[in-house]
Amino acid sequence: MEAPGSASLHDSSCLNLWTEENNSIISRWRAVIASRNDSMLKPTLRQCHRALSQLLRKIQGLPAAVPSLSLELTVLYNTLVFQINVADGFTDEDSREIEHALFRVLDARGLVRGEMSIEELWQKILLNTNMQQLAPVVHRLAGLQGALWLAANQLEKLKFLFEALSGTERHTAPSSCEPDRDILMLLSTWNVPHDETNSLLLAQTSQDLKAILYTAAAFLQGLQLMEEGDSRAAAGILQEAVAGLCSRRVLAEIYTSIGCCCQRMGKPQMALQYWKQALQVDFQCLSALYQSLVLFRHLEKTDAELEALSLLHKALEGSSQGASSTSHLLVGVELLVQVPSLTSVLAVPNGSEVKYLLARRCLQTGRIEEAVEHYLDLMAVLQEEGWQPQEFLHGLPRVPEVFLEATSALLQREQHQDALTVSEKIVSRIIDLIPNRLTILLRSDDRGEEEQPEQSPGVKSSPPQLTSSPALSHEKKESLNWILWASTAYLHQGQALAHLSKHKDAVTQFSRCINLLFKVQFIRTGTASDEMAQEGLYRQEQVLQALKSLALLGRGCQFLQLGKDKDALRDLQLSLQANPGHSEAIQNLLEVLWRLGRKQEAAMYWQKFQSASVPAAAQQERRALPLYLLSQSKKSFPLDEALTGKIQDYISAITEDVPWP
Amino acid sequence: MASHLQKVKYLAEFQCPVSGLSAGKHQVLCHQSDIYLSNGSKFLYMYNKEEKQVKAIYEFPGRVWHVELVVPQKQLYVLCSHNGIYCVSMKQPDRLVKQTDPVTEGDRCSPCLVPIDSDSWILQDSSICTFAVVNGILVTVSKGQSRWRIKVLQNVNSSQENPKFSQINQLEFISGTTGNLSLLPTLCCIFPQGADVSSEHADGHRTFTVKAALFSPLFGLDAAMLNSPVVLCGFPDGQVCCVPLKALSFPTMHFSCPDMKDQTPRGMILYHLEQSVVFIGALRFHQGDSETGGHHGMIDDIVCDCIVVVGHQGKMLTIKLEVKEETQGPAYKEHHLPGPIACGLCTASSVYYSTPSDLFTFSIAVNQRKPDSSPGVLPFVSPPVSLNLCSAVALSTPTETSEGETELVALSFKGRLMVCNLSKDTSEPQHPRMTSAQAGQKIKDLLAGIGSVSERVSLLKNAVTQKNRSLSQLNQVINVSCALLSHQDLRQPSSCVITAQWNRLLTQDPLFISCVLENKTGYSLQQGWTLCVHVSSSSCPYIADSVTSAVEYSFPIINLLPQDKMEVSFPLTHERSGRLVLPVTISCSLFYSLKEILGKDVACPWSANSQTPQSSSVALLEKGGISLPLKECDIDTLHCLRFRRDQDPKVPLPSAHRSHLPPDPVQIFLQALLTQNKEAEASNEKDFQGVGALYMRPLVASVRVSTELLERGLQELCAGSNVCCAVLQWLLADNTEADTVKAQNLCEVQGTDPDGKDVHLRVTEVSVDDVCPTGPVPAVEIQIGSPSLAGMSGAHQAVIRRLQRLVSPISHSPDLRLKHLQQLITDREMLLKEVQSLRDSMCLRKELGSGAAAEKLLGLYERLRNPGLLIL
Repeated sequence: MEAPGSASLHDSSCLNLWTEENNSIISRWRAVIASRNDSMLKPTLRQCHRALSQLLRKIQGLPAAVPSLSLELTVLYNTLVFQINVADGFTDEDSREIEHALFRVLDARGLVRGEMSIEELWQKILLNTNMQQLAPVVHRLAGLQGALWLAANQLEKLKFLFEALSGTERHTAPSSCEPDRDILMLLSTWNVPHDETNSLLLAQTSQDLKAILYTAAAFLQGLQLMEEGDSRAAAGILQEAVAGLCSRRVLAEIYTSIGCCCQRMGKPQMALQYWKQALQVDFQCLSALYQSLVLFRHLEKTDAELEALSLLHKALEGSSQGASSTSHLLVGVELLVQVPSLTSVLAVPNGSEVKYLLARRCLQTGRIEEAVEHYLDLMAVLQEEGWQPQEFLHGLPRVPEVFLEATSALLQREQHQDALTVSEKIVSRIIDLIPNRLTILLRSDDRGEEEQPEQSPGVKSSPPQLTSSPALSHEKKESLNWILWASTAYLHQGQALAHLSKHKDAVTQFSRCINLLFKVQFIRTGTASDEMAQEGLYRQEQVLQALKSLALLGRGCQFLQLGKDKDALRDLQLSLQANPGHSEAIQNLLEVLWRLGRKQEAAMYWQKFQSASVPAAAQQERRALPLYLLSQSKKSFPLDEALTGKIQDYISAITEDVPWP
Repeated sequence: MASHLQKVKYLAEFQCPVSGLSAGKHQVLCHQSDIYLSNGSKFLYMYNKEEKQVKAIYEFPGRVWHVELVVPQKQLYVLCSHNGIYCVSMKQPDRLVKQTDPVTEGDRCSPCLVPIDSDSWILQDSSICTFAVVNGILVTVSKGQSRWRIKVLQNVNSSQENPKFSQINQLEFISGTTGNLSLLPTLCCIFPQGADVSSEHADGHRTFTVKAALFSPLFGLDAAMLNSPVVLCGFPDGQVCCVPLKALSFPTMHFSCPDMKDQTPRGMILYHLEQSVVFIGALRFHQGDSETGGHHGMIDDIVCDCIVVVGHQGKMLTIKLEVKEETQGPAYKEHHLPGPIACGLCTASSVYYSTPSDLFTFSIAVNQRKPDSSPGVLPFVSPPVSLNLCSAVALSTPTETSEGETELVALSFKGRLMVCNLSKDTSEPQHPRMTSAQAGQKIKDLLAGIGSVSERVSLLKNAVTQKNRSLSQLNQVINVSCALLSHQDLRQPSSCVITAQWNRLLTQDPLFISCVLENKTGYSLQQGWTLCVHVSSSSCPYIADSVTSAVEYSFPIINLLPQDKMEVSFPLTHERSGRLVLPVTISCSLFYSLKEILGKDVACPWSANSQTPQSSSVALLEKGGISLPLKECDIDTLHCLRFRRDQDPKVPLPSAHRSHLPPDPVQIFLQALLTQNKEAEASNEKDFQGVGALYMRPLVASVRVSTELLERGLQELCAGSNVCCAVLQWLLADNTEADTVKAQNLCEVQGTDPDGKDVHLRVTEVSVDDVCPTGPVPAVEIQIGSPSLAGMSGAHQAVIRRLQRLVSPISHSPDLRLKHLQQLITDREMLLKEVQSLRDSMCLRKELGSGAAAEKLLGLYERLRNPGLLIL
């Protein structure tokens, strides 16, 4: 291709050579894009980048001269576009190159260059009226500079640059009632000169660049506002971004962000709408799905939530996560918008976490069969991949707790043998670790825990004490956990055996559980003022009590079955002591008392039970229990009609004896 | 204490830098019969034990820092510094190399060089320091700015040939500044009890199974329940951290501050060793009932109950499962080993570690003793046993050979690969007890041996020192000789100035000759050089019983530095008669005796009696030495004339020394007579001349030299003054006493010769007629007068000799009247005839007595000498 106006066919001036080289590189790139050959993209990208940077070095090796300025700046523009793409973002080197090029422009013009900051450089160049024929090139470069500053979140500089570009002075625009929109206004009014239809090919046209900048600016500002908490304004600006030029993925992300804003504004339905739109645009945008299911949980729409969860799980299992976006644009919005707030918006749990959420939800809502299926799948996955839940998902349990929940689900589904197997797994790992005694002081002051002398004799150097809560040392917390888990496992085993009618074995397991539980001793000292700091410990204590009551109840029932009434009585009484008002316990107690012939006591209990209202605290307590225990406490035991009838008769018989006054 | 008998075989030698291999970057890996060896350079060597040669050399783009064998896929993962991880297949390389090397000589083919390029690059990361492969998961440790990053990566490609890794987890640790930071971090993988390790390569010093009771409290119950392996990483700054691969880092409470922006969680430090970690391993402490000490059974099956971390300076941390009465849990204890430890490894039953001087091993004792609770003592293991293998920098996993021995492959500090076979003495440890007498004898023998060896050493040392010294001396001598000889023709590098001086003593004045040796060379003349002065006088015909005599003086030179002068002086006497016989030839030379250098038993091929002609310009080995002639000079009467200070005849001259001679009795008698005569006061000075001086008329000899000749010869002297003074000055030039004379422009002097006789010199200008046809020739007449014949003849001889030296053959001879010449000749002939006739008559014993003959001879002599020679 020859420069226009050149007469000779073999004009091999430098400018022509360089122009040809530039064009060949760009056409190669365009050819690869057109062929849609994904595997060749990255290598070609690198090759083009290397070739262009070599060409740039060649050009910049000579002193700057006016005729070659436009070529030089164009080649620099192309190189930077490729460089940004190869490096997957902006680096300091890019800004240095631009600065260097600007200095060369000044040199070529013979203008003095002193110690100028980059903004002053730009101002000088842009306000220089001699640069008219360089205008398109300079504007393009300014666009890149703007992109750089946008990515670095230096919005002031960006504003200043585009003000200079549009030639307006720095004054407070009267129409800026929305200061956030200033930049967008500037960008939209930026009059990009048309690319000359000369022979220099561009990696990305100026119009595209402008559009990208606009979208990216809007998106970034929207995210920033969202982070600051101003959701309404954020939503407004993000709407602007929607109208801009971006890939499908980015569009979906924008919709997701708008949805989040709506949610924070308290408009759940609108949020759901936007998320649906996001999914329609790009079905790979799983964050929208995740956000919506969180919302469903919040709204307690269980079916929708479960459906969303299973969809999400399928999506994660199915396609590969990192689908490469074959955008024909080199500088896309993705490169410009790489901020942590976006990452938090777009966070999605991985496969095993979703599976867990699904299983848990099923268990919580009572869909036992599905729950069991999901838990069993989950345990298989855990063995393979491990369990490393991400930080943004709060409240995910530890591995033993997952197993315990699975056991509980199995019990509820009456797969007792499987429940036994799973519990055994837990028990076998923990049982060697449990200390003989664990004493926990609940203090009100911050002095923290004192080591009991019998707890750890003879250890000379202990591992570093890393505690996040001052009240209890880490080791002790973990020991407490072990005890609770092991005892729960024993409890489950006992219950499974009970249902399998292996009463003696059931009794053994229950006894083990109880023994474990009695190893822990909570000692209260001081005033109960600083309860907030020890909330976790109180909770553990309640769990302990609940476990005790359940275990004693279980054993009591077994004794009842075995006919050992006295032991049964003792256990049931202790169980009621730990957890008064438990209907099942009362029922069994009544039965025992009746069998033992202590009818008066039976009647007393019966009356007490009738009159006592279920306190709200019991409800609260139930909610504080972990999931694997909830199922036990939730069931309201149906009262044995026959027995209650007998008792009532008895009571009436007794009261009949007493004449009415 | 079990004894280890070992045999060491050296297999091959590999290149290593001159300073030896540094710690931390070398590895020896054994796989069946192949040994893979990296010595920190760009090459990875594969050595085959059966064929006993290097089979393949892999060349990498960067230095090889770490190699891992991935046995299930038969691959090698190699870490190149600042590059990344490469994957190399373990198959025979000659199938892979595209250009095949020609196979020469049958079996002994040269090792093929396999260059590794970027096709084998599986992970590009220039900050990786080390890595490990566990169950297909890659764990890498990278160094950031001030932190360490541990990344867990998984293969997402289904094919194992081309693994592509994506990150699934990352942990960060702040790096400290203590410790030797040039070492690389070490990794070790711990499996919980019950985990399936069969698929894992049983690389017995990298993967261990640990009891659950120790595993769970340390690494968390989650990891134990999921059978997740835990990677322990020891950093060069001393921190030891653990990374569970499938569970959250324990404990699950988050450490990272909630307001930190970066997302990477921090990991948990297990311990801080405060020195660089060299290796981590696990031991099985409590033996089961069926096990004895040793490497029995598969290493996979051994479940360890003690984790061992060993630091560079010798600190060893053991995390042992401690069973207390109420509970059991981990107990941390520190022990100290002698350091510094370069490398080591730990198998489930023994620990090997290498210090620069030795290789130690210790293993679990067979019978356990009661644990000693004092700190620093290793209570549960036998004391370290030395294997006498020094400076090993890399060890491979010990393997069991078919004979039940343990085989250990090691790489030494200098790059040598060696195989060490340890046979464990499994019987009850018994030492052959030595009796005390035997022990004492052995000790004596050893001491004697030491003594003799040290003696020999000292003797040899002395001999060597001596030889060195001799060589240096010889070198110096040769240098000096060359310096002196090379300038023979030009100027004298060392000058030797010989002068005659009269020394003033009380009654006698001896004549001393002084030689001043000036060292103008650049070398200093050190001990061994002597200045030899050879004084010889020819026999004087007019003095009775005088013979040719020669005396040699030698003055040793201690240390004559360059530009220094050394003056030696000695009296000039005649030993027997005490008379000074002039002229005397003095020659100075420098002599260096080689006997000192070469020793007594060197036979000198040249001796003084040899027939080789002696030339003065060649250095000779004379009497076993090197002699360099310096100067030769004649001392004659004119040198020794003494003058009165102011030519005042009244001042008596000091007498010459005549110590040896008893004074002549006649002289004494006559003197005594004279002293009675008061008139002789005025003429006292003549006493010293001897009585004969009064009564004998002075003898005069004269020499005439043409002025032209003199002027030509004495150019510079004639310049200022007139010819006569110039000539006189020239004659007395070398006379140290003649300063006053030279100061005054005299034409006539009177002096005393060493024998005490007066000598009178007068120089006048005359013109000689009848010699040349052209006219009278201007000439200078030198008149020598003395009352004594000896004095006159001595002075005359001196003058003649000087004139001989001065006058050079003239190109043209002046026209001479033949007639005059003829006249001269006839005159002389007449004298000759008279002498002959006198001789004849003496022979015939005619009436002429000796006195008359003597008088006649004297008269003839006088006529001969005056007018004397004419030199034209």
